[in-house]
Amino acid sequence: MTVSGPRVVGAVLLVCGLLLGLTAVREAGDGSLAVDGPRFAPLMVTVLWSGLALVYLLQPSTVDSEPANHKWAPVMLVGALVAYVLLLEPVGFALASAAFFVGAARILGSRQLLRDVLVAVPLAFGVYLSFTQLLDIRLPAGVLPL
Amino acid sequence: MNDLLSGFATVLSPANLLFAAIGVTVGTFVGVLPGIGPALTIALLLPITFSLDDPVGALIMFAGIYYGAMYGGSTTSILLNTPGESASVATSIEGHQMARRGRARAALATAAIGSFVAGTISTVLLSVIAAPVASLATSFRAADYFALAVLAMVCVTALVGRSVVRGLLSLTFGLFLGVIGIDSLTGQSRFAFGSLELLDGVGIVVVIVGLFAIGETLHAAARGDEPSTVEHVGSGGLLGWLSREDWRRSWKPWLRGTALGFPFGALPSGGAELPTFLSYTYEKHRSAHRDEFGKGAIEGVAGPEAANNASFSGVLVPLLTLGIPTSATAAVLLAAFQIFNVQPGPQLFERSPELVWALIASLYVGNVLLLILNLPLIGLWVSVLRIPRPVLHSAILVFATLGVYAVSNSVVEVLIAYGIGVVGFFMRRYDFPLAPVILGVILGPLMEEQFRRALLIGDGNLTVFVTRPLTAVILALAVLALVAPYVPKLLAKARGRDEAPVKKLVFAEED
Repeated sequence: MTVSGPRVVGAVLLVCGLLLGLTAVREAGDGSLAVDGPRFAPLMVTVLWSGLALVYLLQPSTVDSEPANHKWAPVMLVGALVAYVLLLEPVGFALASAAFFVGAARILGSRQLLRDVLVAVPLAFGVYLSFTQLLDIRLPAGVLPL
Repeated sequence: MNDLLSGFATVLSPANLLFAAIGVTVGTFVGVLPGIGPALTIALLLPITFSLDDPVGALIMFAGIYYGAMYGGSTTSILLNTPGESASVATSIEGHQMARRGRARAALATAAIGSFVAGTISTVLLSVIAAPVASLATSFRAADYFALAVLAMVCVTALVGRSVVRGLLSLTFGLFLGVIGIDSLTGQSRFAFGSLELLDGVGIVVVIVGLFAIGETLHAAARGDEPSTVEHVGSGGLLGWLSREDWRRSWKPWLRGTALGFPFGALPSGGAELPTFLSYTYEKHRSAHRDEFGKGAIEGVAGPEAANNASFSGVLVPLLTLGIPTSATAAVLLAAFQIFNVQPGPQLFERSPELVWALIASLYVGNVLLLILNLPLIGLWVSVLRIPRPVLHSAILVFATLGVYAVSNSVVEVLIAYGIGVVGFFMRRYDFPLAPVILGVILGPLMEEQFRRALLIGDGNLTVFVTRPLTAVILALAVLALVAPYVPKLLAKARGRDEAPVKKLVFAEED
C-alpha cells in the first residue's frame, strides 16, 4: 500500500481538528478560557488532535491493510443502514428489519435470496415479539397490527 | 465474614437463586449475539429488572447477567472475532486463530473454566479487601483521582498498539466524544451543534456498538467474503472439552491471568484492557510454544480470559468503594445501581451492608451457575460458526441497530452510532487502535471533572498536582509509561549497537 491513503487520512484529520478547534473557540465566545472553566478541555482536546494529526500527516506510516476487494460494498451498506433506521418508525421494526436483512445480505455477497428471506422473516418477527412481549422493551409496531 | 455469610443467606433463598439463574441464562444468550458485548447486554436488559421492587433481587440478576454476558462475549470473540468490548480483544487474538484451526471447543472450554477459576479467586479477594478500601478511599482527593485517570490512559495508549501517534490520535478521538454535551459542572453546552441528542452526550453504548459492531461489519464488507475459514471442530479429550495437554498448558496462565487481572482492575484507573494485554504478552514471551502464537496457542486464550474475569471483580472495588466506573460495563452497571437509588461510594458499605454483601455473594453463585450452564452448551455455540458470513453480518447490523434503538428510543442516536461505525471502519483500515477511544470516552470526563475540582480546592494553583506526594508519584509513573516503549532503543544506542535493528518494545499488537 502506498502512503497516499494515510496522507489523505492525515489531511482529513487535520482539517477536522482545526474546524473543531475553531468551534471550541467560537463556543467560548467572549467568556474566559480559564484552566478550571468548561471551555478549557474542548480547546485542549482539539489542539492536541490537530497537533497529532500534523505529526501523522508529516510522517505517515505505511500500513499493510488487507486489500479492499469491494470498494463500494461499505458505501452501499451505510446507505442501506440509513434507509433502515429512517424506515424503522414509520414501517415498524419487524418489516423494516426483514427487508434490511435481505438487502444487506445481498450487498455482503449472498446470492441465495430464498435462504435469506427464510432467515430474515422469522428472525425479525421473533426478535420483535420476544423483546416486546417477554422483555417489555418498546419497539415500533409500524404498519402491521402486531 | 459474618456479613458475607448473611449475604449468602440472602442469595441462597429460592427466589434469589432463580433471579441469578435467569440472569446468567439471558445474559449468555444475549451476550453471545455477535457485536453485543457485556455493556450493551446489561444496558439492553435493564428494563426487565424494572418489574422487581426489591433492589437486592435486581442486583443479583445483574451479577448473573454480567457473568453470562461476559462469557457470551468471549464466545463470539473467539468464534467470530467480533469482540463486544475492548476487554475481550486480547482473548480474540489467539482464540479466533484456534477456532479457525478446528480447536474452537478447546478455546471455549479453557475460557469457561479459566473464567470460573479466576472469578472465584478474585471474588474471594474482593470480599477481603472491599471494606478496608472503602474506609481508605475517604482519604483520596480530587488531584489523586485526576492523576490515576492520566496514568490509566497513558498506559493503555502507549503500551498497546504499534504506533504511539496513532494510539494518541485514537485517544484524542475518544476524549473528544467524551467532551460532547452539557458540561457537568457548569451546565454549558459543548459541540452540540444544536442537536438535543448531542446535548445529552454520546453514550458509551453508542460508541461501543458503532466502533465494534458496525465498524467490523463494514470492514468485513470491504474485505469481501472470506472463503470458509473455519475447519471442522475436532472431538474432545479429557472431560470431552480439554485434552490432558490442554489442561497442563492452561492452569498456569489461568492463575497468572488472575494475579494480573484483579490488582489492575482494582486500581481506580484500571479496567480490563491493560491486564488482558499484559497477560497475553506475558504468555507469549514465556511460552514454551512461542511459535504457536499467532496460530492459536491455548495459553493466549487461557491467560487473557482469566485476567478479564478477575479484573471484573477488581473493577467492582473502585465501583463500589469510590463510585468510579473504570470500564464500559462498570459505567452501565453504575447507571443500573442509580435507577434503584443505590449510590456506590465510601458510604455504601456503612449505609446498606446487606445489599453490598448480597451482591458479592451472588458473584460466587453466578460463577458456579455460569460453569454449569456453559460447558454443556459449548457444542451449541460452536455451531454458530457454520452460519454463512453474509447472513451473520446482516444479523449483526440488525442487532446493533436494535440495541441502540432499544436503549435510546431515538433514530438520531442510531445515526450517531452509524457515524462512529464509519470512523471505526477507517480506523481498522489504517491500523488505529480501538481501545484508547473507549478509554478516552469513559475517563476523559472523569479526568476533567477531577482536574477542575482539584483546582477549585487548590485555589486555581496548578501546583496541587505536584505538592501532594501520592499525586506526584502517580503522575511520574504515567510519564514513565510514556517513555518505556523507547527504552530498549535508547539502551542499544548507549551501547553503540545501532546496527542491529532494535524494535520498539511493544506489549501487544492489537487486532
